[in-house]
This record gives sequence, C-alpha cells and structure tokens, in this order.
Amino acid sequence: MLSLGPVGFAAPWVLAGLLALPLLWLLLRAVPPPARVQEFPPVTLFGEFDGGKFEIRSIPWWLKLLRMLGIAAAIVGFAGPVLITETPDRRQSELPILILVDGSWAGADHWPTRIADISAILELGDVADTPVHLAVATSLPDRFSGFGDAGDLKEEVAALLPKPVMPNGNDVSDWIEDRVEGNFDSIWLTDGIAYTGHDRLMRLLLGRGEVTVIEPAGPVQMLGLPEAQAESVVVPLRVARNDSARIVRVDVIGADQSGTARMIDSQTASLSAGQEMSALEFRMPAQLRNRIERLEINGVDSAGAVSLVAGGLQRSRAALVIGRQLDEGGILLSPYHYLRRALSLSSELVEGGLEEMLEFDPDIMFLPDIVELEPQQVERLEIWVRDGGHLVRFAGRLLAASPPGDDDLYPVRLRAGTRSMGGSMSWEQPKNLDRFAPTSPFLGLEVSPDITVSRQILAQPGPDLADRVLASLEDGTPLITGSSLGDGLLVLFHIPATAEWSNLPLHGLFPGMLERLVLRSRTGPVGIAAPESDHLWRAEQLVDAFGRTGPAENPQELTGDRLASGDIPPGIYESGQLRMAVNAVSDPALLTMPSWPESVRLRSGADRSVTQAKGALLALAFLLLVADFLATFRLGGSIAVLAAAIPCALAVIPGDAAAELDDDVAIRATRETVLAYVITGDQELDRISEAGLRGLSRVVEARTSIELAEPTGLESSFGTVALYPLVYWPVSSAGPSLSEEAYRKLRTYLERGGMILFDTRDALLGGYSPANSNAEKLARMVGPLAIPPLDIPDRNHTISRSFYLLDRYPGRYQGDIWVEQSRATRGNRQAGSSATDGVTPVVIGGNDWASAWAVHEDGTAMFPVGAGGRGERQREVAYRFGINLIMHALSGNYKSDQLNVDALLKLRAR
Amino acid sequence: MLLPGRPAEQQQRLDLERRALAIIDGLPRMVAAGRQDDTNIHPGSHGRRRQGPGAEFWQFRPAVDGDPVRMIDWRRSARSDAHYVRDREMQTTNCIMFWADNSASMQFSGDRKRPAKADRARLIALAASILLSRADERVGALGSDGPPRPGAIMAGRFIHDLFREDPGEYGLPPAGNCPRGSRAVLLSDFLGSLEEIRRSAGQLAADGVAAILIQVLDPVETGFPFAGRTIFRSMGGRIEVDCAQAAQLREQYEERLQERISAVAGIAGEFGWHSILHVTDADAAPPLRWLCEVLGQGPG
Repeated sequence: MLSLGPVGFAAPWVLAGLLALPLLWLLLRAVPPPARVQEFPPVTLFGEFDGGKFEIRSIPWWLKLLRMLGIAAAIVGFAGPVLITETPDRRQSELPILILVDGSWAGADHWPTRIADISAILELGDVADTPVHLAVATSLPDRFSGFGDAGDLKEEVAALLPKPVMPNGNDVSDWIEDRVEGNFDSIWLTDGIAYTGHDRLMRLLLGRGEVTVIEPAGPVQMLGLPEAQAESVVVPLRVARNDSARIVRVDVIGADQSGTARMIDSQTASLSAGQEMSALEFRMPAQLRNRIERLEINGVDSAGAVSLVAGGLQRSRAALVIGRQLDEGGILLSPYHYLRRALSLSSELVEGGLEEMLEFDPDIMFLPDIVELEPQQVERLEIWVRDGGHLVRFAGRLLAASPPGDDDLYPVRLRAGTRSMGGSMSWEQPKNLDRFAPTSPFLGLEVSPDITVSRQILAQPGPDLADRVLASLEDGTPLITGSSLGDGLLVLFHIPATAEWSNLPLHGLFPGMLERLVLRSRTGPVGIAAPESDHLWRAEQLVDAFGRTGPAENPQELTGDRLASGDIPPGIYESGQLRMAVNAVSDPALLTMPSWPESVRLRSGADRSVTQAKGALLALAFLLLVADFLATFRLGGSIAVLAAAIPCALAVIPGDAAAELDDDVAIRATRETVLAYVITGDQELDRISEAGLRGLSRVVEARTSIELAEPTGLESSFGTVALYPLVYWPVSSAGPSLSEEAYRKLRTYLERGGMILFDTRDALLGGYSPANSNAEKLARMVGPLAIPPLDIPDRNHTISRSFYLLDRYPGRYQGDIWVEQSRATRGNRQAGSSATDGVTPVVIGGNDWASAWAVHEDGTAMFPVGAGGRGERQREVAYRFGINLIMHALSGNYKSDQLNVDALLKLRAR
Repeated sequence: MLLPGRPAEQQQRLDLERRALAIIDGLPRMVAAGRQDDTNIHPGSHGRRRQGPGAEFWQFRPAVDGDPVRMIDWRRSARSDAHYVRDREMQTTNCIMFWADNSASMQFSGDRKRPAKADRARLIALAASILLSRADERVGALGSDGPPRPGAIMAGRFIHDLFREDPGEYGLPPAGNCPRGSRAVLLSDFLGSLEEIRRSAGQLAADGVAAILIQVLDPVETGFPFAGRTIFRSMGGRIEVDCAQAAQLREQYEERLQERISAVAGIAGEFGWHSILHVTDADAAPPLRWLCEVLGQGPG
C-alpha cells in the first residue's frame, strides 16, 4: 500500500494509467469522427450539390473535459484510495520519547506502512515538540546518540530497513540499561511476534515510562521448512493474526534446464478468518523435486515467507562403502560397478572407506559383502543406523563362510553356507523372483521372469521372519529382508551385487529397487542437522528481510555452532561440498504472539481511521461517463457513439488485450512448413535471405518429401517465432537489438526444440575476436539466450548424416560450424539439455549460406560460388547442408540411432 | 503460359483468363451463330471488294509479263488460248482495341464478395478479345506499346496490358496507338470529369476510331445504401465530402447519377457510337453478347 500524505492507495500501480490521459486527450480529439468513412468513387458527383448539408463538427471542449474527468476518476478509483485521518491522543507526560522499531522480517511485508506510521507519529503535535530517539531493535548502534528533534529524524526514517532476523530482547534490554539514562516514554512498533527477551524488554520499558505499542496493520505470513515425503513435498504455512478469509499462494521455484530460476509448481491454500495454520502438499517427480531451490508465498515481501531448500530436497545422499579393491577380474566382477551404475540414477553418490562415509553422514549406505568390518566399526555403524541411517548390505562369499552373530547388523538371522540351485550338482532349477507382497517397498515394480537366482544365503526360520521379508523367491525363501533398528533400517540382499549368484544386478529392476530404498531413506523435514561444530561455514547467498535473495558480500566464516543457533541471517551457507539453508522461520507453529500487559496503550497500525474512497470515485466516474455518453449521443446521433465508448473502456480496463499472433500468418505458417529468416532491416541482406531460403526450399522440395512453402521474414520482436521449425539469422553489425520480451520468446523457442542458424557471413575470418564486428555482434546478441556449450560437430554428429553424408558444411565460404556440444563430450555433468534430445538448438557459422542458396525467381543462382565446376560442386554441398539442417530440425536425432548400427549388427552376429 | 510478373500476379492473370474462358463457354450458341452468318457478329476476315491477298476467289485476268508461272490457273487457261491468272479478293481483318480502366476509382467494390469494377472490366475485355482472336480479328490494348495482332500469341501481352497500373483517381482512355479505322471498346465507370471524357472521346473520333462505351458501375454506386453521418472519400483519398445525413442525399444522388449516365450515353451518341451501362452484380455475359452484336454491325 502506497501512502501519499493522508491518501493511501491499495493498488498504486493502477495510477500509472493517469499517464495515459494525455494520450486520451489526443484520442478524444479525434472522436467523434465516429462518422463512417466510406470509399465512394462517385463522390465527384457530390461536388455539384449545395454545400450546406455537409458540415464538419469537432468535439466541444466541455465534452472532452467531461470524459477526461470521468476516466481520471475511474483510474484513481480503481487504485483503491483510502483517506487516512489520524486520531491524535494526547500524552500526559513531558518525558522524551523512545521510538522502538522491531525491524525484523516479520514487519517487512508491511514496511511502507510502518514507515508511514513512524512518519505520522513524528508529525503528531505532541511528539513533534518532544525530544525523540529512534532505535531499531535489529540494528542497534554502539552508542546512544541521545534524544533529538523529531524533525531531524525524517530522513533517517525514510532510510530505515528491516533485517531478516528476529531481534533479541535481552540485547535490546542490555543496550537500553547500559546506554539510556533517565525515564522516557516509549512508542514500540512491534512486528507482532514475541522474540527472546520480549517480556524483559517490556518490563524495562514500562519501568521507565509510558509505553504505547503499535501493532502492524496486517497479519504475518510465514512459510515453514518443507518436508520431503516419499512422493511429495509438504510445506507448513502460517498466517499469524489472520483476521480475514484469504487465499495464500505458495510458489515452488527451481532451476530449469538452462539453470535459470523459474516457477516449477504453485498451489493455493485457502484459510478462513481466524485460521492460522495450513500445509500444502506438492506432488512432483523426483527429477523436479531435485531442482527445487526455494518456496515462497506469492506476493509477500518477507524473509519469513521464503523457505530456502539448498539441496535439502534433492536426491538422497547415498554412500557406497569401498573395502579392499579387487585387483583380479574385470570391472564386471566388481560389486561396486553395479551399485555405482544403479545408484547414480537416483542419488548423490559418494564412495570411500567406512569411517569416511560415516563422517559424511549419508541417508543411505550400501555395504557390499567384500567389506570386512571391525567390531568398533560395527558399533559406530549401529549408532548411525539407530540415528536414522539406512544400511543396505549384500551377501557374498564372506558372509557365506562365516555366519554372523546377532549383533552384526543383519535384519534376520542367517544360516551358514549357501543354497545352490541349478548347478551341475543339483536337481533344482534356478529360481525366479516371486511377485512383491502388498507390504513390500518394491510393490509396483515389475518382476520379470528373466530374473533367476541360482545361489542365495538362507535365513534362519523364526516367528518374525515373515514380517521382515521384502522380496522372496517363488519358493518363498527370502531374497531381500529388512528390519528397522532404532530410527534406521537394515536391509539385506541375500545375494551379492554382482552377476555371480543371480542376474538380478544386471536387470533393470535392480536400479528400480535401489531407487525405492533410496527414496525411503530421505523423508522428514529439511533442517539443520546439527552441523559439525568444527566446520567453518561461509554464506553463499543471503536473503534480505523482504525475502529477496542475493549473493553474499564479504561473507564471514561461521562455526557450525553459530549456524545451528539460528541467530544468523537466513541464506545458503557452504562448507566445502556441503550446503545448508538457514531460514528465517524453521517452524512457524513455534512462534508466539506477544501478550501485552494492561498498562500498555495498544494501538494497531490499521487503527488509523480510514475511509475507503473507491466506491464513491467509481460511482462518480460512472456518472460522468454516462453523462458523456448521453451528450455524445445527442451530438452524433448514431451508433457510432459506441465506437467512441470503446477506447474509453479499453483505457479503463487494465490488461493486455492485444493478440500476439496475426492469425493469417499463423495459419499460413502452421498449415505448411515454412522456413523463416530474421529481418535485419538491411534490405539487401533481407532480400538475399529470402532468396536463399527460397532456393533451399525449392531444392528440398525437389529432393525430399518435405514440402516447404515460401519463406517468411521474421520481425525482430519474434512474436511468431514458435511457428517455424528453422530460423535463418544472418548476423549484421547493423542488425536489430532485441528486447527482453524477444529474448524470452527466443529462449522458450530454443528450449522447446526450435533451431536457429546464425550466419555471420564472413567465413569467421576474424575468428571471434572483437575486431570482427559481425562475430562480436553475434556474441552480444546471443549472450542472454542461455546457449549451451558449443563444439565443432564430429564425424558422427547427426547433422552430418541426417540426409546426405557430409564432412563439411560450406556456403559461399568454407568454414567450420559450431553446434551444441554432444553429451558424450560434456559428460554427465549437466542434467539439462535432455529436452532437445541431442538436437542442437543453434548452429553457428560464417559461411554465408543464404548467398550460396539464393536463386532468382526463375531459378537461376543469384551469386557465383567459387570458380567453375568446383564452385558448382560447393553450391551443391551447400544445398546438401541445408537439407541436412532441415532434416535435423524436423526429424531430430532420429538418424543418430543408425550410428549404432555397426555395434548392433556385431552383437547380433555373435 | 509463361507470363512475366510475380507469382501472385501470375495467379491473378491466369485466374482472369480462366474465368473469361468460362464465360465464353457459356455462350456456345452465339459463337456458333456468328460462324454461320458473318453479318451477325462479323468475326474474321472482311472482303475488301478488290484484288489482293486473301482466300476467296475474286476474278480471272489475263496473265501479263511478270506474273510468275505458278500463278497461272491452268484449268481456266486450257479453255482458251490466253493464259489466265486467278486473282483473289483482298481480305483484311478488323482491328479492335480495348481499354479497361484500371484507375483507383475502378478498384472500388461495394461488397467484399463482389469483384472490383476493374476486375469486371478486364473480364469483359478479355472474354471479348478471346472471342475475336478466335475469329482471327486483330486485338490490342489501348495504350499498349506493340501493334495489335491476331491470334493467341497476343493473349499474354494483352492480359499484361489489361493489368497495367493507372495511378490516377479517374481514368481516361490513352491516346496513341489506335490505328485509323479501328474500333475501340472502352470500359470504365466514366465518373471523372465529363469534360475530359468528352475531349478524349473527341480525340478518338478525330483519329477515325469508332468506339463502344461500356460504363461499369457497382450496385452500391447505383443504389446509394447509406444513412447517418458518413464521410465519402474518393478511392485515392483526394476528394472527401462529410455528409451529416447521408439518407437525405439519396434522391438527389440518384438524379445526379442518371444525369451522368445519360451524359456518357450522350457523348457516345454525339460521335455515333454505342454505349451501355453494366452493373457488376449482374452477369458478365449479357454485355458481352451485346458487345459482339454491336461489333458485328460494323462501325458507325
């Protein structure tokens, strides 16, 4: 809410509409020619009429004024004006006044009104004459500067900012006791939340003089820590002192594939008046959940309404304990290999010795059989499990050789030796897996009959065995067992994690089962899990009181204890590889409202006597416009009056009524396949672009089954870019610069699978040096497009074989082209780019393709390429490149499947 | 047929030709009647009643020195001692020049579904020209660069000339390439200055051209279906008239229009020409039939 003196506005942005009034003045001058303009050739015949009939009228000034007033009234009315008149209440005493502002995040949402409150207080007659001191509880100065003139404080008040923490009442009390002498009256602008030492501060202030408490005008909205459930994320929210029914929207924000933050999900909770607590459940797949960075209440500018996640909702931290390395045998005999492959899909995997892993405190730990444990290690492991760790163990020769005791952290008691099925010495056939029981955590995964088990460790039968079986063979013998220990869980695979005893580790079911286990291990609230006190933490991102995140400047190193105390500004803190989120509110239910003693004079910020002026103004606007309508009707005397009313209506209704797409263009572009080029404004260049695409379209149509319509130019606003599969963009140093909106459109276009061919048309002669103006222009232009890393395509790139087999991509020049780096090169570092599925979103080069492709209307080439036959050959290859490019844009990586044909054939032949 | 110009225009021209042919196909009886009886629509060659190149027999005359031997008609010569030469009657073709006004005012159409006046004018001109070409008449466009020629060779050129742009508000027939003694078909709305129309017509008449005026008007122009405050503007936007109550104008306007129509007819009558009014919501065939009839009657 914006306040201008005694008038406040609920929706001040609507006032921007007033700026349009001068424009309206011009519009209104043109009205009413509501007269129909009719083209009429025989108008010459009129010339012979007597002129008296044709009078030209203009709108009278009073009508214009009437309209302007009406519209202005409507705009001001929609801005929700309120008239605020203070109710002055006289103070009795003559003491100086201490204005104490909490200045915490809880007041940030109402900060402008708080400022207005303070200003209003300073202007009250009795305060203005009294010495005043202004103190903010969250940022107390070292010294007390004494009580001063209220008039001097005005600038200070305007510059006041809240802090993203809660003040400490004890600190404030100490500060007052140490520094402020004598009695004083207090005006306490509370944020409506009781903090540590609140009562002591209250008593202290009451001891020194009269206390007036001014409560905030609105409720305090808070978001708690999100809690990860098996398939969803639940976040508690609270609206403290909720006085009216309201709908609270919570946005989930995370990085998209290109790394830019955007809204992933959003839900609303509706609270009735008086209801404070609620919780929202966000159901989303693990992939999305991994990306969550923060949750926030929409429209509330407060650190309390933001909940940072900092990877807390991300994939579980899984540890793979590595014992001795197997030297003999290949990688396929190593249990680590199968676990690594299976786990990398679903979790953040770290590997190392047991001690190291315990320190890392993973959610789930995988312990292959080849790891030998010492007694004290078993002890530590047990503590870790009892604390909520999930331990997954695998059977193996070692276990078979020495049956474990009861304390050895196995879910069931085991028999010595193994049971073999289907060996040369056995009648039995290898057994299949049974269907999962309804209680099994693996329920829902599909059991394939391909999976066989030829050897397993058997469990000792016992009364509780049946409850502990998570998966069994078809004869009922347990294959996977599990039992809880303390808060944790023990799981045993009765087979090793290699293909020796069973082919389960080779099967797709195996990663699926591990994923289920991993998901189960990661539930519960995201919180501060008692960070190691000996670690030093450094803020990476900080949240200000208004809930805006920003990078931390000159971050201090904090110890883990300090971090755990919760007394530090919220943000994301880092220590080595670990990241942790500190939030302003961890559990909103724990915050209490202060209770004020009888002796305190309590006023609410909303107490100011307020008159809503919206209704009156709107009624006035309506009356004025009706009067205008009638007047216009009298003057114009035809339906054309309606035409006059429409611009007025448009001016009043906010919102963009403008349709983005021209229907004709859209229909044409979608009925047929159309190539597009970017209109640079350089007419010659645009002509070449059009001719080039026309030439290419003709060749494509002649040689392939793709039917292309005439190419289209694309304005640099890129409103319709989404309609074209391929956009040719000749880069000219004089080319257009793009608006933010255009960039947004282009980013979406590229993300959703569009393709742009950038052509610097200079054979990249200058490389990408600043001296080369086209290349520099290109670099500047595509900067905000979030283009993935580029590389020169290798021999196997789809673009080299999507139609023709090509090893070079010439246009009028022969030079390299750049496409998105293949995933193989980039490795698995980036999870993104899967949306485009290996199809490069951009192709960048400088070969001046359009000139090579360009043809006149009659089909003859516009420009020579090279010399003689070789030049024509080069033109031919240029066309082939164009065809490949279009194929690549239209059919994606389809051809790259065939890249593996060799390997597949060999495999078959074997 | 390969025509110069951009694809869109080509399409437009092919379309016009197609429609013209369709109209002609709708007039089978008339064409047939024309072939049977030359006097009816007079297509093709016209005997000049004197010796000259032609297909028809004119006379036998005694051969004189210089007549090539192959010219001797041996059958006739055998009946007497002298050698005779067979003379043929001189035959020439009529030359008919067309002018379809393509000025701004002709681009008017009162209804989106109705073609513009210019389109209708072109259609009639082309259909008539095709009919005449079929009968080996020489056809040309007024204001064209080339001379009028017979046959289909001319058609492409002719269509091109029909689409020649005229930047003017109201059109006037161009003077110049009209051969003496030829006939001209002028298709226009004749809404420009009456004086200038009369002057152009006088020029044509002075060149010995017998013209036929077809005044093409849109139904909106004849009906004047307007009411309320209206600003009437010429197609080029040069003339604008603001009218407070258009409905009150109707009677007066209709009167003026009738005056103009009869003025155009008057000009035609002055030079002994023919004229007709054609409104574009009517079929194109009747004026075409009329045109053929008038052309068949011969000049004057």
